[in-house]
This record gives sequence, structure tokens and C-alpha cells, in this order.
Amino acid sequence: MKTIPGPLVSLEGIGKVYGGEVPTRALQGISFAVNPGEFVAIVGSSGCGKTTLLNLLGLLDRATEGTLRLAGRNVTDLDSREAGQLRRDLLGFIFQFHYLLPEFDALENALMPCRLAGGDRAKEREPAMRALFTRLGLGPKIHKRPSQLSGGEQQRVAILRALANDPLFILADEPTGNLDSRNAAEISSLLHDVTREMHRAVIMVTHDQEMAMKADRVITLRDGRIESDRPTGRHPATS
Amino acid sequence: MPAPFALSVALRQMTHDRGQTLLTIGVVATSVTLILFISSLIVGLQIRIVSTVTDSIPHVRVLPRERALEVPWERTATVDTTVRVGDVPKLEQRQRKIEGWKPWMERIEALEISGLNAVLASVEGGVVVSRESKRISARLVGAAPEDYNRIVDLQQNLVAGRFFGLNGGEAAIGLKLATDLGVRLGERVSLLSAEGNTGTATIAGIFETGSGAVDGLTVVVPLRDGQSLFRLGNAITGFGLKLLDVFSAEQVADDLRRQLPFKIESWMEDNERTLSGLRAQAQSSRMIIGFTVISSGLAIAALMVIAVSSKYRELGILKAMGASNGQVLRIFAWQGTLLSLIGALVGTLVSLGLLFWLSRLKTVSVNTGRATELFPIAITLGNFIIANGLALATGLLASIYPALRAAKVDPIAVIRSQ
Repeated sequence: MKTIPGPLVSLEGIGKVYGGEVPTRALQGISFAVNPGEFVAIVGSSGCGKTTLLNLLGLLDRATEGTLRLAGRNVTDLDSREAGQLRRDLLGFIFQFHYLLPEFDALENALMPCRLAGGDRAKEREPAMRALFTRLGLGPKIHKRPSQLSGGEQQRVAILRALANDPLFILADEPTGNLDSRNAAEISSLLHDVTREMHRAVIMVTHDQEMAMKADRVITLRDGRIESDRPTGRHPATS
Repeated sequence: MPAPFALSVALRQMTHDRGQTLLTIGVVATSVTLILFISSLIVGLQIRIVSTVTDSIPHVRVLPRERALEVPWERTATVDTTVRVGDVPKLEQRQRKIEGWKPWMERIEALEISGLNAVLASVEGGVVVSRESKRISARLVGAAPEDYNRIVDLQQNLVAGRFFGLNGGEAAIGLKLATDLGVRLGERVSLLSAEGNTGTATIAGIFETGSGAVDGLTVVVPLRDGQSLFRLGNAITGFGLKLLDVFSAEQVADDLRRQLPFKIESWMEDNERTLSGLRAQAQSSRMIIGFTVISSGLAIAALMVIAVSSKYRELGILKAMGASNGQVLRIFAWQGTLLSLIGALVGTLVSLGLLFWLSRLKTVSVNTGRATELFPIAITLGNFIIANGLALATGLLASIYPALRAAKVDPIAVIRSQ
């Protein structure tokens, strides 16, 4: 297990302006840090900059202002190749729609980031992933194709895929937006387990206030700025 | 060792999207079949046409120099170079034969001509062959049958009688000529040369080569009989050379022109129109192959673009997970290569079966009952290498555009589109 001293994620004065004939400011002066074992929800109304922030945190886009550090390393100005490598090694992504590859079974899909890394990584991680499948009640479905799984099962496989490379933190974009309440609760519980037991951080973007309140901390964005950053009282350190 | 990421994804996608995989393989296989079928047929046709022309003639002829006009005002320096009123152009001393030919023949054989198969000394000339009231103009060849057979294989094409061992007073003639004259084995024909000399010959052999010029116009007699009919004494009218590579005739003719004081002709000069037709045919074949390659390449590219579009979201997620542009590009490059490889293999097998079947179809001669191939198929290794090489190159090139499109998928756009 990778352990990093200090915050896993640190943003200092992050801003993002989209170019074009009329430049558009999406984010301004965003500063916060996320520590290992924290489950942070980012909320806000539509167009407040949640997705832009997620893209910056996921190294899919570059900030135009400020400094972004992941695991202590300044990653503000990485080229796309380095960014891709860090995404593969440090981050896990969960999306609203799972987009599992239909040609691969559940276990193979979950191990996809390890296959991207190449070498024996997938082979090394397979026993741990099998154990997680069993723990999530997906043991019997391990060799089923995505089309043979329910929506909740598919999303759980997607979460396992996000964990495959033993990432330092997980970025989740509306992970329960496409699920019923029972499956949403299960996913929420699973994300909590990841933070507590695996000592990883989860940063979740959602517009679902109920789901946000299950996190340890809620950051609210408004017009590209942080309006509030409050603990929910669920984190062991704050309860 | 596990397969590289791009290869394993490419293989999975191919086995998962069977319809598209079969369609792409079908396009490549059809193209390969078409290319192989056309090239084998065109090459076979060319071989048949060239062999029909060249099998029945010497590839290079060594002939006496033609008479040239000797013009008084271009006369070379002699004792008296004065041009007088009343002087008219006159023909050089007539020289239609080669006297003392044996040393010349030895010299030709000693020239170490590359690919020389045989040299023939013969007399040739126009005759009228008659039988009762029928008279037909023909070409008489006087030569030792065994030597002549190395130039034109009549022994193999005999339909009646014999050719080797023709005796004095005997002749072998083409089947069409025999039919037109109404003459059969053992019957006699009269021969009248252009110079008015006459003779007779008993038909000892009838041949059919498939060449109208040979079968309908040729009478072969022993050398001595030919010399006698044309009143040549011991002289001959020329040498004929047979080469292993018929297309080297022009080069050999050029070499001989520099070394022999005779007129040298190659079959290629005499058959320029045939060769020009063959070149046009080969060019057409290349154009058809070119269009086939282009259309199959476009079809493959179109199918793969559809595949990329249908996997747009999955590719975006893969890139969000850290897949590099190169890894995504290689997925489709592998697919293009593998589909082309399989398509080429299937096309090759289908072509082999088709060509084998076509090559077995025969047509039977009404006159002789002999069977010959209906389609002149020439299955060559070169054609297979070219067809498969083109298919592979096309598949790879056709996959570049879809692969580049796949590599350019923007994960942010995919995430926004959720």
C-alpha cells in the first residue's frame, strides 16, 4: 500500500479561464487540501465549475492559475503523456455511467487500469481484486460480461476498476446519479469503506445533497469560487 | 507473457463484434480474390498469347542483308565517282541466301548468347501447294525435322503420322492446310515455288499447334528438299534462334547486329502490335487492381470509423484511466492489420480453390478432339505475394485514419456528454 505524508491533494489559488473570442472564467481562487482517509463531496448548482474542478483534479485539463499538488508533487503543468501516466498510477475514476468494455468480463474490466500499465501488474493485482469482488457480493459474477450485470453491479465493477491500481485517491463524478436509492446507498457505503479501511481519499462531485451529506466534508462551489467548506461530522476525526 | 494491452483489446473487439469482423474480412478476402483472379487470368492470357506467337516462330532471325538502293550521287568513292546524265538508282547485287553457312552457324553458337536454346539453319520461301484442283499459297520450311522441332514443337503437336525422320520427298503439313487441300496421310501434293520451280511431296505427318499461321500455311520438308525446290544449292535463307526468355529477343538481336554482317530481326519487332496490346492489357489489369485496392481500403476505413464511433465513450473512459494516445491508436492499427491478415488468408484460399477449379475447365477442339484449358490461368507466387502485400498494406493504411480519430477522443468531452 502506498503511503504519502501530508495531504494527498492540495490546491492553491487554482483558476481556470477558457479561451476563445470571449474568455470565460470557470474557476477562481480555489484552495483546499484533501488528506488520506477523507471523503470529500463537491456540490453546487449546474455550471458552478464542479466538472471543471474534477477535470483539473483528474489531470484531464490544466489550470490557468494556481498550483495543484498530488501526493506532494506539483502537477500543474504536466504534459499529456505525464498526466496520463499519473492518472493511471495515482488516480481512480468513477463516472456516472460505468462505460465498462462490453468485450471483457467483470474481472477483466476491473483490472483494465493494470492492463494499461502493462507488465505483470494485472496478474499481481488479480488476487486482491478477486477478494474485493467477493466482498462486494460479486464473486459469482466475476466472469460475467457487463451486459449480464444489473446497473448496480455494473457500477460496483466500475468502482472496483477505480481501485484496481491501488490509487491514492478516487475521483467520482455523480457515481450514484444513475442508480436507484438502494444501490446508491451501497455505493456510498463502499466509498466510505475505501476511505476508512484503505486510507485513501475520495473526492466526489454531486448535485445530490443527500449523497453529499454522507461524505466527511462538503465543499460548495458557486460561480467558480468556493462558497463553503464544511465538515459533515461523519469523519472519525471530527465526530 | 500477457499480450500487450492494445493487441488484447483489438482481439477482444474482433471476437465480440463478429458481424463487423466478418464484414471487414469479407471485404479484404473479396479484394484479394479479385486481384488474384484478375492477375492470374491476365498473366495466363499473356503467357498464352505470347507462347502462341513465339512457340511457332524463331525468336531471333538471322537473314541475308536486304538489297539496298545504290544511288549514283551517294555512291562511295570508287575510281570513277562522276555522276552522268541518265544515271538511275539500281539495286545492289541480289543476295537472298547465305552461302557457306556452317562456319556462320558455329560462330553464332560460339557467341555465348545468354539463354540461347537452339539455332536452326533453314530455307524458307513462299510456295503454292496444290492437290488436284485445289491450290493454296503456303510457307515452305526446309530444315532437319529434329532441329526444326527445337524451334517449333511439331512432334508434340502431331495429330497424324510422324515428323521426326522425314525422308526426302516427304512433308509434314498443318491440319488446317491439309483439311483445306483435302489431303490425307500418304497422299501427294505438288509444290510450286515463287521462282517457278516445281516439286512434289508425300504427306507423312499432320500437325496442329493452335496457331493459325502454322496450321494453315506451313509445309515442312527436309533441308535438302527445300534447297532443291528453291534452287539454293547448299545455301540457306537464314538462321533461326530460340531463346529461353522470349523477352530477351530484342537485346540478343542488338548484340548480334554488332557482331554479324546479316540482317537481324527479333519477334518483338515483328509483333509490335501484339506486344502493345499486351502492354495495354497489363496496364488495364493494374488499373483494375488499383481501383480494387482503393475501394477495399475505403470500405475497411469506413467500417473501422463506425467501430471507433460506436466505442467513443469506452475509448474516452480508457483515456481518462490513463491510456495513452499510442495505446488507443494501436488498438485500431492492430485490428486493421489482423483483419487484413485474416482476410488475405481467406481470400488466398478462396482464390486458390476458384483458380484450381477454373484451370480444370477444358474446351475440346472440334477437329482433333484434343482438350485445352478454357481459362488460361497462371498461378504465380509473385501474384500471391503482391495480392497479400497489397491487402496488408491497404488494411494498415485504411486503419490509420480511424486509429487517429480514436487516439484523438477527448476524455473531457466524453465525461461532459454523460
